[in-house]
This record gives sequence, structure tokens and C-alpha cells, in this order.
Amino acid sequence: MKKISFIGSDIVKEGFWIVLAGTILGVVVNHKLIGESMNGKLFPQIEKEQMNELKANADQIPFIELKVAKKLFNQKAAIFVDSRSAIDYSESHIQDAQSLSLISFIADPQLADEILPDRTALYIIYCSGGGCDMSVELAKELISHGYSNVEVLGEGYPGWFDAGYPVESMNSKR
Amino acid sequence: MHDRSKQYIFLVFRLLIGAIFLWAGMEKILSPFDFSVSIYNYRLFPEPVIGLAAALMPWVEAIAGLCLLTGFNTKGASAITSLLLLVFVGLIIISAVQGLDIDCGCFGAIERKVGIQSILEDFLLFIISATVLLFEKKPIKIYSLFKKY
Repeated sequence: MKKISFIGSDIVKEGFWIVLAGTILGVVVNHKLIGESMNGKLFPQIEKEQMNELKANADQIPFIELKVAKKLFNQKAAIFVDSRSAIDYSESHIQDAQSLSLISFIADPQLADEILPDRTALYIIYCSGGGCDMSVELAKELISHGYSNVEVLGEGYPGWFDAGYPVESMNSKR
Repeated sequence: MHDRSKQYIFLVFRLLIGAIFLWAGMEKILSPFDFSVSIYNYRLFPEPVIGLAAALMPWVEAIAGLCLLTGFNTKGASAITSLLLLVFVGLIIISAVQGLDIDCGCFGAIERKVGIQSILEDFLLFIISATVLLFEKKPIKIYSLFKKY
């Protein structure tokens, strides 16, 4: 028992010095990053960076702005397509959006004919925001399958939700 | 097994974990913002926690790795690496269950997708690290290897 408690105290003591040294160095070197995260400036930076990266890797796929997408939603001039998993879709999605996950489309491309029969309609594809490229990949697939009017909502479901726009789940609507 | 042979096995384990953590820590130290993006992608933590973790964790990792490599404070260092690996495994499992298709961000620039492979790899490293923590009695200091020359 004595030996175990001795080892335990060694672990705590040695671990403490390592954590203390790491904390001091981390604060000194990265005080700006810490400050930004405390002031709510880190997330917008991350989201901007992710969006830029997503657009850079999207080839020629057009992106639609959140406000423009909402205007089209109000006018019922576009069909929203949720490219996330069926589970995510069932939890919550943009109101009236159709579910066509990238995985299910790749497994069975004919699904698109059933879910999105009109190849000339305007489809707005979304997933989980800038960190997610499923919307861009699904848009590429749909265009290569003859859909002529496909755009990506880069902000995705989180952006739509944060803006307070209408969403629905299996049980409720907002 | 002879005690000296055991010590050398622990030394190999320590050098492996130490090198991985020092390298991973340095990668993250060089680009803390990229590391904050990796943590953000888990969608589990509030903004201040992400900022603090991205700022401090890489330095703790690098120092713990350096300690394991040199043979100083090995108990504390292996406790930290074991704990971190356990946290990585837990986070990857949660993300895999949620179906997130993200990079785990555990080892800097190396792209490792969340999934069964990264869970097994990190769990294996945890076993190695925990073995050093629990069973290494007299750690060989790295400079002692060069004394006889």
C-alpha cells in the first residue's frame, strides 16, 4: 500500500510540473488565441476559414448566400436537399427539405430520380456547414447526372439554424 | 525475464510514446489555429475551452514527450500521455457514433479519419503508455546510454 501511495504522489508531483510548464508556455505564446476564444472571435474565424477551404475545393460548383437561400425558401422557388445522414435528417433539418445523403446516393444513384425527379428545378444542397464537404460532393454528383440547377449552401444546417430560420424534426417545427 | 532486458523494453516503449508526443506537440505548436479547427470539428466544446485547449495542450504534450524521451519525470509524463490517449479514444468513439466524417486531429498534420482504425491505434498507444506508467521502475536516462562511450 505504501508503495502505491508513493508512486501516486510522484505521478501527481511530476505531472503537475509538466502541466504547469506547458500552461505557462502556452499562455505566453498563444495569449492572442486564448483572448479571441474568450471574446467570441474564434468561431467566426474558424467558420470563415472552413468556408474558404470548402469553396477552394468545390471546382465550379456555385455557392448560394444564406439570405438569398432564405428568400428562395420564402418564395418556394427552390428545393432544399439535406446531404447528411438519414439519422441527422430525422433529428432536425431545414423545413420541407428532402433527404438524400451522399452515402445513399453513391450506393444507389437512382434514388435521386425518385426523390428529385425534376432535373431542371433549383436544388440547394446543404450539410453540416463549412467543415463538411458532403454537400459539395453531392452537388458534383447531381450535376454529373444531368441536374442543371444545383447550388450549395455553405453555412449548412448550423448556419440556417443559428439564423433562426425555419427547421423541423420528426416531431416538431420551429 | 532479466530486469535489465525489461528496462530496455520499457525504454523502447517510452521512446516510442515520447517521440510521437513530442512530434505531435510540435506540429500543433506551429499551427495552434489548425488544432483549434480540429477540436471545433468535434462539435462538443464551447469556444473558450477550444481556445484554451489549442493554446495549452500542445505544449503539455511536447514537454511530456520530451520527458519520456530523456527519462526525466517519466511517471508524470506517462500519466499525462495515458490520460490524453484515453481522452482521444473517447472523443473518437463519440464522433464515430455520431457519424462525423472528420479528421481526428490527434497527431497534428497527419490525416487520420475518425473510425475504428484510429480507435485501435490510439488504444494500442494507450496500452503502451500505461505499461510504462504502471510497470517501469528504474527508467533508463537517455544520457546514461552514452556514458560508457
